[in-house]
Order: sequence, then structure tokens, then C-alpha cells
Amino acid sequence: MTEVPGEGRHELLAAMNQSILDGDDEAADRLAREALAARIEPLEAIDRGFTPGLREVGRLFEDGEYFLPELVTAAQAMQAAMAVLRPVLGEQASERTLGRVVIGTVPGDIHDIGKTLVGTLLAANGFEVSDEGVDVPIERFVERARELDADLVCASALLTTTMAMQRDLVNAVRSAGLRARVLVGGAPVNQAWAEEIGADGYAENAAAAVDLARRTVPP
Amino acid sequence: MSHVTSPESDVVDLEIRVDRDKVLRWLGYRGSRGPRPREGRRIEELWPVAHDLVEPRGAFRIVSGKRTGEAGMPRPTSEVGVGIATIGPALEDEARRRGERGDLLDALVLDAFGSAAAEAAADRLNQKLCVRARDEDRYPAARISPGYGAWRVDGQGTLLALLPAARLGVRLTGAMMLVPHKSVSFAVRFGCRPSRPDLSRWRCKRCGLIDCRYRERRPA
Repeated sequence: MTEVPGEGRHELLAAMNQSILDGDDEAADRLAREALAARIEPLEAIDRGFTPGLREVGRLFEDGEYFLPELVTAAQAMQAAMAVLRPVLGEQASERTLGRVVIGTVPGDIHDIGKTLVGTLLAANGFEVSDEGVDVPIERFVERARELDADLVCASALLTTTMAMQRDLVNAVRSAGLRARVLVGGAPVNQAWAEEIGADGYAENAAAAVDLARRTVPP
Repeated sequence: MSHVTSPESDVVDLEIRVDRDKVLRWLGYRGSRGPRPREGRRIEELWPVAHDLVEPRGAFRIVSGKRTGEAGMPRPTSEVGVGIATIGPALEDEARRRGERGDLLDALVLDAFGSAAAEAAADRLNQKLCVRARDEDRYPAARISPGYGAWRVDGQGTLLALLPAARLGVRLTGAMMLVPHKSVSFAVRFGCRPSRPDLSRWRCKRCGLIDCRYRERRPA
């Protein structure tokens, strides 16, 4: 095992960053292994190598330079790197979690792609995500949030007929006395609706959901 | 005005061509922006896979406007064309499977392809309805669906009852969601005269129908 000094280290970190920007999961996996072999601390690889790339991808998406497929391949590359680094983090892994998230679509709503995308991006950005799937009963959201002592409950609704369930979810989380904050999203949902039902936040797309989650969960 | 309401339609296979630009729009690309080589290659690889998983079928008929009025259709004419098109469950099942195993790009691309294919199937069925309208000297307006504009989505059940949805394998959930998701139900108002006579100044390359959203100008 060789420690990489100075410029070589800088180049390796830059390559990690670029692998995320490129959405190259094979390169991200290889570079994570190279970092460990070169005695770069996994936290340094994450914080100075991969994470800045992911943040840049989020910015490029917001600026209209990147689109959903680029966002997804970047998240997948990040996950490939984390799969190598997480086991080495040991106890630091749980300390590093940005927050615990329970996510699903509300009862009656069976459209999963948007919810899955948000869950994947949250996980790639350092949240611990429990994806409960589609058509999730309100009781299940509450039960899982209690079990995990979740910071966030995220609920997606695709239709006007199912978005009313988001109100029931907010009420159930409050009634259960949970500390989790409730974030809502989905095609018919907007900020006004989130405020009307007393949700803690609304995000109009997957990248915005990551920003919102970061802002909503205190460090 | 003679009435042309028709009995239940047979289920028909629909020939469709899925437009790559429309799939890219469903993926979020706008303007001249297209995918990078990495994502573009994956889209190309998935294209034949998606094609093989699509089974576009549909059915239409002409009913009295009273019946679509009962389904909540705003301002129905005395006769209305109703239709339902679907691409079947195979594509969305595969998209779900790939998403569950972490291949989210694949899931996203297949989902976008399915959305574009369902719209293409609805357009193709609508075109058949328009030809039928022309044969009956009627002028169809643009198609609308429950959930669009003033038509509440809870009219979906009554609209579907006018069509052989079960024979197409399409059902409705309690939340008024069509399953397979990549299905489109719609209705078309029929008028006795064109709503836009200005369109009659040029000939369409498809057919002689004047007031039709599918009109394409003949090359000079």
C-alpha cells in the first residue's frame, strides 16, 4: 500500500470528481479502490473527491445544463464509489449520515419512478433512505418513521385524487408525536398545497428535493 | 343532423412510430440539448428493447354527448368520439424491475419511451376516429381526457364504461389511475362544420378532413 503525496493525490481527487460529473460508475468504483490503496482516508475521498462532483451535477441540473439522465448516472456513480468506501468507514458511516429518510408514494398512488429517483438521489447525497415503495399505507409511513427515528418522511402523489392523502400523512405524523418533518412532491403538488396541508416543504423536482432535504434537516 | 352513434368498437392493433425527440422531451431534454454520448448510447441500446415490449392496441366508438356529459366531459356536442389506447403492461413492468434492481437510467428511459408510445398510440387511434368522422361528414375537435382542464379525473370510470377497457386489459384503480399506466382514454367533440374554416385554404397530405389537429401541409 503506497501513500500518494501532493500532486498525485490532487489528481486522484480531481479524477473522482470528474467520474461523478461523467456519470461513470466503473471509474468511480475503480478510483474509490485506488484511493484506499493509496491510503487516502475514505472521508477525504468522499468529501474532497466525489461529493463536490455530485454537488456540481446538482448545480448543472438547476442551470439546465444537465438533465434527468445525467442526474441519474451521476447518482449511480456516487453509489458505486460509496459501495467501496462505506464498509471502510465503519462507525464513521452512521455519524456521516445527513439524516434518515422514509420515502414512498401515498395510498392509492402506484406510480414509482419519480419517488425512486428522489430516493436514489437522497441516498447518493448521503441520506440513509428507507424506500417503502408505492401505495404505502399511512400507518406504514408512521411505523417506519418511528422505528428509524426518521428525520424526514417524503411522500409523492401523482394525481389530484391521491394528493389528499398527503394531508392525512402530515396529520398522522403530527398525531403520532414524531419529530420527522414531512416533505411532499408530485405532478399536481405545489408550494401552496404544501402550506395548506401543513407539510414542512415541497420540492418540484428530484434535485430540488435534495436541496430541500439538506435545508430541512439540521446539521 | 343524422346520428352516427356506434356499437362497441372492436379492439384494434395500432401501428405506431415512436419519435425519438418526444422520448428525449419526456426525459427532460429541451431545445437543441440532447444526451451526452454515455446516456445517448444507453438510450440507443434500450430502443429495440423498448420497441419489443410495446403492444399498442385500442378501441373507439361514437356515442351521444349525453353519455360523455355524464362522465363529466365539459361542453359535449350531440355526438362524441370516445377512445382508449394502451401499450400494454410489459414495458412498464420491465421499467419497474430495472428500477428495483438499481438500473435507474434504464427505468427512466423505458418509462419515457412508454409515455411517448402511449401518446403515439392515442394519436393513431384518434386519427382512425377522425377518418370515421370525415366519412360521416363530421368535424372533430382536439382530443381531451379526464383530468385535463375542466374535466375532473373522477369522470374516468364512466368514460371507461363506454369502452371495452377490460378486453384491452385496462383497469381503473380507486384513485382513478389507469393500469397499465401507459394508457390514454379520451373523447373528441364532433361538430357539423369546421371550427376553423381558415384551415380549408390548404390541403392536408393525409386526407380531406379540414378541422383536424393532425393536418400536415402537402409539400409544394
